[in-house]
Amino acid sequence: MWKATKAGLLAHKLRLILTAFAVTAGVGFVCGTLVLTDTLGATFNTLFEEVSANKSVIVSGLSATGDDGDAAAPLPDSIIDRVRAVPGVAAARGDVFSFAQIVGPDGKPVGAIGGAPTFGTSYQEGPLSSTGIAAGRSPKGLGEVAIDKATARRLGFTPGAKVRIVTITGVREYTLSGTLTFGSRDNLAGATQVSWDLPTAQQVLGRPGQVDEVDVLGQKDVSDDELRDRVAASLGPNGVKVQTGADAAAAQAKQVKEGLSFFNYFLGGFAVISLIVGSFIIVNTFSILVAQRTRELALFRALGASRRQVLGSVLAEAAATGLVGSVLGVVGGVLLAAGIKLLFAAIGFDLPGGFPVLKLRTVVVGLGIGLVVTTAAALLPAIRAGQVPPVAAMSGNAVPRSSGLVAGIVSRVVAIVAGVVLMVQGGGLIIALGALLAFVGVVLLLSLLAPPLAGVVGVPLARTGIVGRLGQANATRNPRRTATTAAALMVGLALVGGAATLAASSNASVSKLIDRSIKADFVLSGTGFNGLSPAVSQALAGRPGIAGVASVAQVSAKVGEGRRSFTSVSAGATDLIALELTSGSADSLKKGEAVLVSEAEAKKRKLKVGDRLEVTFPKGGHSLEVGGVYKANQVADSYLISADLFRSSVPDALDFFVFVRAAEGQLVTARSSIDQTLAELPAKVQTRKQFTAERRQRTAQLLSIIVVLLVLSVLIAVLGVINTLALAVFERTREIGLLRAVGTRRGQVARMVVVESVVVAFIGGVLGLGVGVAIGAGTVAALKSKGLTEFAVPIPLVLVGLVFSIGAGVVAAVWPAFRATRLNVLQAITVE
Amino acid sequence: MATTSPTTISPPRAVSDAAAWTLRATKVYGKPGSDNVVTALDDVSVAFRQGHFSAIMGPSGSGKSTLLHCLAGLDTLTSGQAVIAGQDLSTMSDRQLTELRRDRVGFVFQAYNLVPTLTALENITLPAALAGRKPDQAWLDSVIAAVNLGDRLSHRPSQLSGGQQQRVACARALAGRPDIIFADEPSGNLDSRSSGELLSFLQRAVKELGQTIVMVTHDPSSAAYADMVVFLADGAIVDELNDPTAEGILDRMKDLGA
Repeated sequence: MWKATKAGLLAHKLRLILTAFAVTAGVGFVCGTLVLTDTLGATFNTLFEEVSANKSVIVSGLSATGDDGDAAAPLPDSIIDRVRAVPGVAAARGDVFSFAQIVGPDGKPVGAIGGAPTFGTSYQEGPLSSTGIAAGRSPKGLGEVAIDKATARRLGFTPGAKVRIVTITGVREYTLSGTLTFGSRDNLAGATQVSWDLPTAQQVLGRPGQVDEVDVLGQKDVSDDELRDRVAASLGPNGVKVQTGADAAAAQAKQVKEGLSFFNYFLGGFAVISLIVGSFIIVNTFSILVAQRTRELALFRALGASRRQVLGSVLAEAAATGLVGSVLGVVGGVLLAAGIKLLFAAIGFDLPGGFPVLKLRTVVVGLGIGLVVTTAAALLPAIRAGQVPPVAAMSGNAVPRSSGLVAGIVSRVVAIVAGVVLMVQGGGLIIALGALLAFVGVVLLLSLLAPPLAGVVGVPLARTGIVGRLGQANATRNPRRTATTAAALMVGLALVGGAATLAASSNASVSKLIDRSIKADFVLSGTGFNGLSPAVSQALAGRPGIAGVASVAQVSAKVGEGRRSFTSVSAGATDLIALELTSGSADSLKKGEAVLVSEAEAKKRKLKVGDRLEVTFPKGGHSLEVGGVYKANQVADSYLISADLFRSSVPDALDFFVFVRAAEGQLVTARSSIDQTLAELPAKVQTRKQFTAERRQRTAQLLSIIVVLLVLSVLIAVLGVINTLALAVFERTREIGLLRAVGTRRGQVARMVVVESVVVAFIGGVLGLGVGVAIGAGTVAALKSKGLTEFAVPIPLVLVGLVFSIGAGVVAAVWPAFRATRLNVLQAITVE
Repeated sequence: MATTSPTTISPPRAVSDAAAWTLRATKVYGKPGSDNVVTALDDVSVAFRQGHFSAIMGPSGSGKSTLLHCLAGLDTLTSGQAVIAGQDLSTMSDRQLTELRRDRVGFVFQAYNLVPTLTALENITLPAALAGRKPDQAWLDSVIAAVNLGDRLSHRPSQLSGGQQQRVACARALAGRPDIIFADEPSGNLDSRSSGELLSFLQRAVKELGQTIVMVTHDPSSAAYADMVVFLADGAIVDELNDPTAEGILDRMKDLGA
């Protein structure tokens, strides 16, 4: 039996490879994710270890909320001397960190790379420093600054150059004294860094008499843990965090890795999709193989092979296929990770050394998943193979088993309805489960509906003549096969359709909401994920032509046991965010210790005007008076506080946006006022229209990334179509021979195969996109309360998807069609 | 029982009367010079007359199927000529051969004659449809009437008996009014009654409809339906019999040692 299995595998190398490819992509995504995680982990571990290498202990402030994720409050710089006094401390120094943005030679703010921060700090020589000077010298006094070597190179700055830098306290011009290096690196994972001497840094970064961190070097005979305990004991428990340098490095690395973990979920999602599509193909391929080999398998049974041996031989073939596919997948995964690293490098986010990290675990997981998925998918066909009766060796036909059609349709429709109900009723995971259930239901229903569908889809093709008629008939002759092949294609296209519907709906919702809730003529924002210095809104207020300025920001704070997002807006400028109150007054915000509450939140917490709300911001607790209740608002989610309160309760209180409204009929004057201000204090300025367009563009970019990755799953499905067609052509050797004998030209035979392929692909496309739009609609309905108020069908993308599925059908048919045309007529018709 | 003298007809004289003929047709399988060279046809010159029902007989391996395949444009000769309707097959491309089979030749095979996804009628009109032609309706009606399939036209092959399937195949072969019909053991898979019906039908197609049929068979009683029998042995024509009877054919076969 094993010999027969081996011989069978070797006889069909090409088919083996094609089927193996079905698992390759899934395994590739899994391994790519793992390699990337390990590599990024290793990168950030080394990075932060190097930065903290010569620090025995680090003392830092703590957020009043007590959560590490919140911005820490700065410490008074008197703490440095207290730390120095602790026995065992060899040296201690204070350091500050805050937002600092370089203004480029073109007058525009310079963003960091890949969403990394743009920050400012102090430069201090000595044993605790991990930063070095690459060119020039260290910065001294209020007039001098040093910037990281990578940014200096990017902007063409050399020592002696004049550099403008925006901080929370405003903008100033400095002379570049030198450039900074960090061990072997020219920047810290893409961040732009600006350094002054400590007193200057404290002044310009808004930390007068304060430090964010005290770095401590211990004496040689004291261990880091011992020193940490001594420092902690000496400082007492209030608002101070004391860590060893190693722990601090690990914590920072962990935080960054968590920040990048969305990437893993992203790739992980595609791994799952690819594996689902791949398993469809494996089920199909092995079902066809078993059906074609009925006679051979029956012969084995007749010759004395047990059911178990027959089943085992099919599973062995599946395992061999899975192994080949998984090995290719592991290699592909490493290449994928390397490709992503190259992509990062291309956008300037250079990940240093040690790439790629391929752990044994990655290989084991990759091969394991590939093998398990392949053999599991082949199990059903294998069981069917075991059930082939020995007598089939004589008759040549296995009895096809059929189940009740009505029962089949009913059970599937029930699954779909249940899924949809879960989607509409549930939240979070339940929605996902509902979507999955509905999807599986649709796939299974498809196997019942494929023949009539192929009939409908194929009618126009059948009308074109006998060749179209033959192709259409071939697509319907084996419903289950057609359904599984189309379903593989459907998975990818359904997700494309769903994602596109969500994107279109989100765009429509955002446009509508922006139109309705932003009453500003201009929107100013920072670069990347960085905020905007409060100096910008201050400078704009009262300039000619400007009627209103609202700085908008957001902070997460503790309310009772939970966390809530607090939006801040300049008091007196609430009309710029179209705030509508149902009770109280927006002017109450001018009192400072006041808060406005959304209707939904007020109902939930039973709040009314005059009540008090206890809130803990990073800099401390506040008892805020409820000054009013407002209708759902796009800008302000649950709570609204004044910009002044925001600045006093959050360290480094940067604005997210500044909304500007021009005075009646003075749009041009207002614009020139803004331009004048921004010449000093660079920021991005957009009209409301541009702002909306940019939002749309971002959604489109995200969508295009998703579509590109999903197209990969469609390509896997195309492999499935190729496989099924090639097997079908092989199966119909005799028939094709007959057609050729009675005068079918090679081109006609090829067209016949193409028509069959296009019908199958088109069914997959129509249903996939249809299901996708339906899933999108369901999700939009489910997320209505989260701001997705509009439903929109992405008509251009759906049309492109349909054309694409037809194209995929044509491409998939190329090789099988070629095989069909090369068939030797005489051999085909004389085959027994 | 009369034997006609020329077992080979020199082409120039015969062309006017022949629907298909070969001149010094030789077919060799296997690489020249290697050990397993098989000569299936050895210098065969033969002509099949228009409006006649001819049979090719011979024991297994005598080359009768090869001769049919080469004459029908399904296989190519190693040397020599095969001519249908005045066209030398050896000079034709694959596409020309395909269109020749479609437009000038009809086929009836032993089995697997029909496309399972098409109805009986669609199978009958297949060659015309492939050529993008409308079939000649009057002729088609008379062919369908002759094979007695009127009520079965919308059935698929799997819903037809073996005899009905072979009659559909005959109707397909006739539908295009070809220059010649090649039948390869057309009744080989049928019981004796269906077999008799089918062969009488072929006979009538020649006599009443004026068709030309060349049939390969190893069964003397089938060959007896033909107007003329050609005997093949070891790739060469060894004898010929006009207006044969089953007994006469059997005798001749015994002489050939089959």
